[in-house]
Amino acid sequence: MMYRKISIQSDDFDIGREWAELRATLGGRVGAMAAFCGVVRDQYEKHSVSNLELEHYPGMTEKSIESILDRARERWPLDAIVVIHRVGSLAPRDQIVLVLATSSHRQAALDACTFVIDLLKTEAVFWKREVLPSGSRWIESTDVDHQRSTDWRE
Amino acid sequence: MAIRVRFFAALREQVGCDMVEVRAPTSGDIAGLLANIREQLGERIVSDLTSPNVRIALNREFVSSDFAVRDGDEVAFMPPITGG
Repeated sequence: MMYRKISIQSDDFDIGREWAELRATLGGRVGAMAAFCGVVRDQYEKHSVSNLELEHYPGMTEKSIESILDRARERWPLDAIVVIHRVGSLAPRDQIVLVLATSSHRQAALDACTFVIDLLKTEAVFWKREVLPSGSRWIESTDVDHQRSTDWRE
Repeated sequence: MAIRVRFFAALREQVGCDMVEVRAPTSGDIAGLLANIREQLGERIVSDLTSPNVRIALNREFVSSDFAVRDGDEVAFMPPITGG
């Protein structure tokens, strides 16, 4: 049984605490913990961004992440995955998403971490609106995001 | 039957509300439900909802518009998503 934690929250998260909590669950065979943390940029396609607003669909967003984690577990021998994703209003430099993955060896943990964040970009049910000095607009995933997501299918 | 219809993000702004309850006289699929939405919300909204990049969820699962809806179901229309 893979340990998993999914949290959609408006509050910030403490990477150290999440890391320590996950480490406390580890079995002796785990030899690798990998982490990715996404942070809000102050630039998006050459625009200055003053804020990012994230919206989700409670119940469905969690399901969409569950489905990504199911597929990660099918591909790699993972012991645990943690996904924390923030919603609400975020400012540049705010943490937006955390992915942690653990496995016996580093390659599985690192690859699973990359896989999960790549699929979060195209399959997780969130909407982002960037607030610019001149107004606001909804962001869509980029061609690069879709390519990275598609590459995992091959 | 009564179907709860939800709109998110850009679609919510275009429709002007996040949820409507649509009353449909008979059972049918989501494509059929659009006729009832047209009566309640107008043609312009339906053309936004049938845009090719809009995805549909039935009771929080992605589906195509030929899925049948039943009394009490929740149908959501969603513009392109992006997380991470």
